[in-house]
Amino acid sequence: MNRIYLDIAGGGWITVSGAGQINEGDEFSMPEGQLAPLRRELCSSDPDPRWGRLDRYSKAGLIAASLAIKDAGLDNNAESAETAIIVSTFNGSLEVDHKYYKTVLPQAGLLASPNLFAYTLPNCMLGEIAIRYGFTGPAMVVSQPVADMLNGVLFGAQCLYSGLSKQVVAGYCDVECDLDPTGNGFRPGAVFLVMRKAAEPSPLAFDGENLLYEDTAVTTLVECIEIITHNQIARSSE
Amino acid sequence: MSAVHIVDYDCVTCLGTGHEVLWKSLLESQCGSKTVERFSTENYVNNKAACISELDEVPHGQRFIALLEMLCQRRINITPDMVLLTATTKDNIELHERAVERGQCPQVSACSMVDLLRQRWSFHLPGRNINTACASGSTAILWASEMITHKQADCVVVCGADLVSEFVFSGFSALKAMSPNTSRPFDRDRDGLMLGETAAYIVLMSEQRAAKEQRQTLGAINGWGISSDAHHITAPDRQGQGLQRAIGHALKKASIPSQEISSINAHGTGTIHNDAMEITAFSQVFADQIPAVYSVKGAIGHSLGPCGLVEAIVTARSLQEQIVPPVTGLQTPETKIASSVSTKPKTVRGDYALSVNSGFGGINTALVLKKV
Repeated sequence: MNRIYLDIAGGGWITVSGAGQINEGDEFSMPEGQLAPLRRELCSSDPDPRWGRLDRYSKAGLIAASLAIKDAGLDNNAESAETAIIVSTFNGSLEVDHKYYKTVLPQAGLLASPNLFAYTLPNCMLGEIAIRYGFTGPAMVVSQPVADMLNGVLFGAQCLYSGLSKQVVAGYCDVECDLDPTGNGFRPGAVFLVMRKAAEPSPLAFDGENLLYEDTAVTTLVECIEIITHNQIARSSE
Repeated sequence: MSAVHIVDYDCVTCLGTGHEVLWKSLLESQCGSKTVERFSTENYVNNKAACISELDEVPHGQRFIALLEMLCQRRINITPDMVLLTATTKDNIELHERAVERGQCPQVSACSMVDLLRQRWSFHLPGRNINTACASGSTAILWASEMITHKQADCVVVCGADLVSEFVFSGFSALKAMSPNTSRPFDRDRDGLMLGETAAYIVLMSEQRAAKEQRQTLGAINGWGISSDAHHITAPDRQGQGLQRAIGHALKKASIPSQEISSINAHGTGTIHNDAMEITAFSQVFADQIPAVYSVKGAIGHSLGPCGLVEAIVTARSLQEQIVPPVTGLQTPETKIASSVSTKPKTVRGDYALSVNSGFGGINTALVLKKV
């Protein structure tokens, strides 16, 4: 299969350790535990009347995507309209699913909350990102019951590989794994990268199946972000 | 660009098991709406949904597996290189309902369907679930087509399923998106959607592999497009710009002008805003030459994740037969689309058809299918 080289224009995250951005040189880690507080100010200093409606999964995703988008200088960039947004998740919207269903039970559905129900689809978080940044490209959630957490980045790279999109905001999002029945290592947090096809050879590549760093397959999301941050790969094509 | 061939498909709907039953029932304008028996509907806007009767007998918590099992009765010859993509929005939601009722931790993930089908059909490769709300099925077909076109897979099985559950029923009732009657897509007096449940699969193959295995081709996926509204998470963009973009991308990928499209299998939920948005988008793309338009949701309800799969099956069959099924539930068509919709089966002539979906989160998909 052919290979494309990847340009990482920026990245952002919110994990148990806190929030960070690649180009700011922040240290990345993704331990288990309780997520750092999901504060609106991490997305924007402007008031956001919708913020209070969002569930924790959507808040975490929106914070990480906003940090990545700003890290890449894409906010207020009209040329980014066709950007794709891809995320992988294991639990997805399960936390708000349970919260919503608790409003259904007491009076046989009479008090079912439409506001909570609106967020019981994990791709609504992607809709929130699209609305705030005017992205009209493809958007999808991919779930796979393996703990590498890398599928969103791989699907994002695939979008670039196939030409479905020229720029992607791709990553992973899960809130605390209390609902993870498998105990198989999904970490709470949200991590997004802004990726483009690089015009010149770069240490980071995608061969249609694997993400490669200097010809070696990158197998987990944590490894991917650590490689990018430690080796200062972001904006490597510039 | 080499075409992506449909070599096998099947489905289970409220109208019966198998695509033949579905096609025949659609031509007869049958409606699968029935009184919901599996939970109390006393406090909801309606008590009807397009439920699969056999599932009413199945205990709560076991219906999703029973639905998949109905589909798995069909044998697919799995080879080690086949890829599995699934399309479900709420997976085994009844187990989560039960967990909340009992105050327990659920013993099932949000994407259990992938593992269930991998085991049941003995797939060798890991599978993935794609969730774009009500556009999940068509997005999974789109992704499979990308993989085949770029030679990352020779054969992809796309499978979707979702249940009529109290979780979903109560939600659409609370959002006031559900019809108090039955769904009447593209009707002037439409008043909401009718929920339904389906399971469906489509096997997609590269042209070369289909020829090598001498597989009968049931149609081809020639173009696809996907676009976000960036407008609202539960309401469609009134101008339908996201859907227009998705259709535009699909036509470009298929390298055909809009005039080549002979029919459109619309999302057609029967809600005021969805159908109005689609009419606006079709008017923009096709001007005053909107081809035949139909929706199957008046017959089998809106099944969320898998609806795009069932609709792709119907679109392929419609192209093959050169007949467009009637819009079940339609009485008085919206003026702007009156000449394109029909209450009777309609003969069409052409090699290409569109199947479109839109979903929460503001996502839109379009598939161009070709008669082979």
